Amino acid sequence: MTPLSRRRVLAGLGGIVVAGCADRRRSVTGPEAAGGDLAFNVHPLGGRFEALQRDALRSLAAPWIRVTLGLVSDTDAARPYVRMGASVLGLVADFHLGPIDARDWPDLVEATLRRYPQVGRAELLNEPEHFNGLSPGRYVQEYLRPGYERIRERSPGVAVVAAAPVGDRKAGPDRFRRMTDAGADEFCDYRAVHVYFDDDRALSAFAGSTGRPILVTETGSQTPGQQVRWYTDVVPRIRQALGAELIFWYVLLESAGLAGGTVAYSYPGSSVIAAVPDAAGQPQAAPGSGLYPLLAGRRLGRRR
Amino acid sequence: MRRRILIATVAALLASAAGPTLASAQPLWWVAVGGQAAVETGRLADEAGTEGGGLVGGGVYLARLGPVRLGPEAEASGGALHADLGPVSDEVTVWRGRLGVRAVWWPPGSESRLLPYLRVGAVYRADRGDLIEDDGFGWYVGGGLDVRVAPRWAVGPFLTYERVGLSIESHTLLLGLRLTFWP
Repeated sequence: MTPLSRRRVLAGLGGIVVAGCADRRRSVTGPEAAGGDLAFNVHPLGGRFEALQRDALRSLAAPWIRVTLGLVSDTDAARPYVRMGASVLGLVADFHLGPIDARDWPDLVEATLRRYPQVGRAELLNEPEHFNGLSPGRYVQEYLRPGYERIRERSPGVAVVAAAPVGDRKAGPDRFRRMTDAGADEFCDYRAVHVYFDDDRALSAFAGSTGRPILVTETGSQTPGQQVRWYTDVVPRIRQALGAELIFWYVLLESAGLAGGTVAYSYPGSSVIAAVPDAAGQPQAAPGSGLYPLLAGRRLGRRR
Repeated sequence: MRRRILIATVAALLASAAGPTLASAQPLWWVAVGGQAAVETGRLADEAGTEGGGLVGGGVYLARLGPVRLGPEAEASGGALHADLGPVSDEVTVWRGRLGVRAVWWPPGSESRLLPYLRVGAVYRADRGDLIEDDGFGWYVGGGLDVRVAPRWAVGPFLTYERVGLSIESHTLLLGLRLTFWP
């Protein structure tokens, strides 16, 4: 397992719309910055990190967050984050990785969404081949379809997002197409992709493999010094190539403790904010990263 | 050439067995143990704290270039550091293996108690903790000063700089004290 793929365990990720939560289809692309508005993946960390992350999300005016809701473990962890008043892309997955009994799945989905009525869009599992051992075909037939049908029946206001496959340029497009071949487009409102590469051909392969709108539920750089470049140079091309309405940066604050296994030193490098606040108690940029001040400063500039 | 090496080896062993003086002891090989502290000077310093550990090594003097004796060296070391990973932290064990060349200033017949040396080579580093698992290859360069305290013994400081291709390249300065024995 590569450090990058482990990083994507995403034990906690989510999305919140700070404004406009009633219109899930609105574009959040802003013309004022090359990278446009960014949504954020957020690990639902507790303790002192809860206030720190909430403050940072306010400063960033993140239009969405994507957060893991938990199926059977830590099922309340995301609650402080989804209550921030924005729309939520809830990741319907557990913090403990591994197989999920298909017979339990529809009930787990229903119970999870009942627990989190703030969720406007529900992504059913995360990189299911990697983290749950599900082939694309089995995921679509045994998890996406039953989950979609249960949501349509019990939570018709919630849009369904099919899980993204792994985010590398080789395996990602192939698995994405195999999900389509298995009927994924019929059982979701959005398709999700993870983009940890800068490759126009792979992006075209994603775009050509689905008739559904695409959400980029994870992208970013694990190298702090490259985060601004990724945002200003790569994100616009991803947005354009995929016509993506939402792009979620991975991640506001990384936690190796949620990776589900050992990680490399670079693993926390995807964090946008540091784990400790500045002298004034406010969130500050992760060491080596200029993305947080760029985005927070841009927001302040727009207010003026 | 092989015969010369064999003769030199036998002569060195005989000489050491006879209890050589500082001047007469120019051994063929050496072993060492020591302790060291390692400080990150690059971006890895954001996460990796100062490391403390021990080492064991050895080498052979295979050639002479004027006053300089040259030969391969090998070293294994283990240490521990505290890794700050943001919301969580980890206690990490650091293992290293080195293979390189050492050149010591040791003129024939020298009675000097001070034996300065330089070394350069390749290093493999593996870091293991409850959360961290990282490893990579790199290079090192350094030097030290062996102070002979007895015919077969020396003690002295050393300084080594290394770069290793972990997931974040390490730029590490290692400072330590080594006890060397010439059998």
